[in-house]
Amino acid sequence: MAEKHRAHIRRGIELLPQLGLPQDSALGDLRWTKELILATWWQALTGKSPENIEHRIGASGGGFDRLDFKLSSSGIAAEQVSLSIPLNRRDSGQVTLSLPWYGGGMSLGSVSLNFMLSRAMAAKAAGTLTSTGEGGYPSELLPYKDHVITQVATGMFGVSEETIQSCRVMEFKYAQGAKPGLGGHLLADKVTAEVARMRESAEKTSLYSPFPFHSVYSVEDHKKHVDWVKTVHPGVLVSVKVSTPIDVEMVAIGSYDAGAHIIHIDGGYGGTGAAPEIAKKNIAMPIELAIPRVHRYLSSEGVRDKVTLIASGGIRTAYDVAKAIALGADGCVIGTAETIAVGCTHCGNCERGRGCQIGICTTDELLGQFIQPEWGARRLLNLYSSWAAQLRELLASLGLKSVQELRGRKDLLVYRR
Amino acid sequence: MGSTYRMFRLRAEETPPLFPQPGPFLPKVSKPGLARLILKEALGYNRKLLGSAHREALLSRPCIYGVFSGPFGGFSPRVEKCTGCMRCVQEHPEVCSVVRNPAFAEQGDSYWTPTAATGSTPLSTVLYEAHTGKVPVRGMGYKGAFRGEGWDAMWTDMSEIVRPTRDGVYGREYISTSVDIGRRASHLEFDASGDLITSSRTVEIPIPIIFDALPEQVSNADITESIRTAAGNVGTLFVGRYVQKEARCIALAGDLDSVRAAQRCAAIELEDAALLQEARKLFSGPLGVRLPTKEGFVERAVELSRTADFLHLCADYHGRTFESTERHLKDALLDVHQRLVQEGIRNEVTLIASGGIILAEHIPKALLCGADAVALDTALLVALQARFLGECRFPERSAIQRHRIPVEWGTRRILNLMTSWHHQLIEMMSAMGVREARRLRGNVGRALFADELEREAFGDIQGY
Repeated sequence: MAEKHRAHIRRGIELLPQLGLPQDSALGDLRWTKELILATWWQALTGKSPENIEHRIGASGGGFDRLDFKLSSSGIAAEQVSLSIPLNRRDSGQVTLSLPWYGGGMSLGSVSLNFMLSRAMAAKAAGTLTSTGEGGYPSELLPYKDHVITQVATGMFGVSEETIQSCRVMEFKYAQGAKPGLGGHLLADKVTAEVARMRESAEKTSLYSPFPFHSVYSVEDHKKHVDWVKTVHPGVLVSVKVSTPIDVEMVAIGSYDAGAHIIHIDGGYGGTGAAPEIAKKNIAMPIELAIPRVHRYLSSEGVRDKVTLIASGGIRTAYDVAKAIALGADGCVIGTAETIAVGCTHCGNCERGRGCQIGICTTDELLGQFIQPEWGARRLLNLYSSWAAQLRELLASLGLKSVQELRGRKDLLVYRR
Repeated sequence: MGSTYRMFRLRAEETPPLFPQPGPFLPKVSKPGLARLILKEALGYNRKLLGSAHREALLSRPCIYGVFSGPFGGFSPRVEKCTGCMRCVQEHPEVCSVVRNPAFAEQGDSYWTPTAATGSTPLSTVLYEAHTGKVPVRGMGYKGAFRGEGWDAMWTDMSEIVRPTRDGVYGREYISTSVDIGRRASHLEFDASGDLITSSRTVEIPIPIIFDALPEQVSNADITESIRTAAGNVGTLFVGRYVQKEARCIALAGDLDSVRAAQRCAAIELEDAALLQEARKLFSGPLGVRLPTKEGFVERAVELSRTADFLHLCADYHGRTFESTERHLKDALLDVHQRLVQEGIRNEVTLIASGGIILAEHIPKALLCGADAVALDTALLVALQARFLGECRFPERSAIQRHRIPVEWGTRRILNLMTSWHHQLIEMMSAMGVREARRLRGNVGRALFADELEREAFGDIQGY
């Protein structure tokens, strides 16, 4: 049965970008428009950007969707452009990404193991990273450990000395953009025996990640947390993932002072497996508004070149990546774009019943078979490849030889009303 | 001595709609296409049909929500089960399509259903909340516009580390949503024998929400009774006329006779501020004034605050002021609050805001902008499945289709709405690290205004 539906779904998402959909189709919304979803499917299939589908902006009417670049012609060839970024700017032990983005935290339980494996395989092949989220570290990911970020989040699910030693970057998740200040909640239906084992809990029991860390009530507490991780794994890079409150720049400098290599700010419009709708729309600011604020403050404090600023929460396209960097980030974290690449329709039913109908955000045995790791990895690599080509072309036309030169270049942006 | 303290809780109870509600999605299946598909599949599986696994595969349908689970499968889809997941379209793009349901977009009016492009609208949100009493939770990120006007031109803050633990499911620290209506004494005074001589004219309500009076043409006896009963069950107040015997009511009084008749009411709201002095002699409880946001209302608010115990600032049902250059209630509130602060009298008066408060998020936002409490209008109507006849914007010119509803059902729907909104208020307060609703009032440091933030982020970008 799985085989039948898998074959149909694959054929369908290959065909749909070419067939198109009726004007009143229910696919898409203002942020992930029908066109952006079809364009992402096309890129995941071909590794190229589509010619006749809008693949740069959505229809949200603000932020990235209003920004554009002042393009000009330069003598730089796209192939000469470097997209690599360093993650460690403060001490020895460099980790360099080949692309200015990596995969955001998605836990086992919130997504299927097959999809986690797809992401890890793609990250390894592309020279970037992927994150386990807060749900334990499945042993199947160990062959990819040099490309794995693991999270220490407030529920401390599946966190052990061994998992801390099996990653390049350790991510402290203080908050998530989609539900800032609210912690997490994995519904009982998704807590299978395997998920429960990974999270050291009981099957079919709802799991709450509380908010905040009950051992961290200050920057000093956070520093002690970091010290613990660095003792367990001295070479690990420390990333601090926070949301975007009004004082996000203060949080950023505090995190830097406590030893972070990476400040990861996750904007209010970021993705999630389940969150109250009220939180997604209303709490904390969109990432476009937070990036320049943090970039400016870190610069004024004289530490901007000693820390990597990563932005996430609504990065949908290669152009969003470029705009985030021009606003002041060093790179981005993506999540939803990866789920779309393997067939997600952004319908938002991730938490409902058996979970995702095509097997991404599910622990259902049948549905989980729809995504096969190799197929998923291929789709993700194709998407990365298309994005990389678009970025190189964009940077070349801006006269830049490296994506690192784009950081904070708001002068290259134009706001379209 | 036993404590009278108790934690405020509301209990939800599933209360399905009385009238059919169109969903956002309309699945469509091409019948000839489906017939061809079935034939092709049957032929493809022909030789394998003897095995039960293959029979199961042949019969399995591309919907996990049961749209094709009826006796006629795709020939007669169960439209109401569609969640818009698009799996059928992904599997069979030549045969299936899912489109936006025009009937969904036609519900309510332009304020309640501004767009159906995200699959949910304020109207569908309130209907869900009134049905279930739950907090709407979905997967994936926010689907709407980057920002909008009014309440959608601001976000609320959150605190990364230092904040109370979450109330409710994690509940270790209680988050209070109580507020007071009336005039509080700034300090306490005692007589020579140590007895308290200061008195406050206040009434405490457990949530910063009251129910406003609805004009006759957008109400009926069932609606009025449902609102009255629900207010009592929640422990809050409703604003109403002819309510002489109602203790949990703010009597709306247009003359002194009405004031005399409302002695047992919790508070009195005067429609004519000129009655204030005389009414004061007749009523010892909280006495307020209804203040429509017409030209000069800010000055009027300052003037009235010196004598009235509370002001009820009213905008239209779309949250716009009645000024010739209309503006949003948010901006009106900010103005009034700030002027009262400048005059040094903000703590002497309660500010109730109403007009277009239709979503849970509007409440903390209104409080951050300066209100102490809000009053609901059309949100109650929508919870009761009232159907608007045209735009429902100006109270006196709006109308609804009249139909009878069981009062018990109506009461339950409003209670569910309040249960859901109470939980959502707690979510937002806990994210902000604020443990008491009284502390939200005018706390603009916890508000993020889109105009200011955009100017700061994009101001130096060409074209902004």
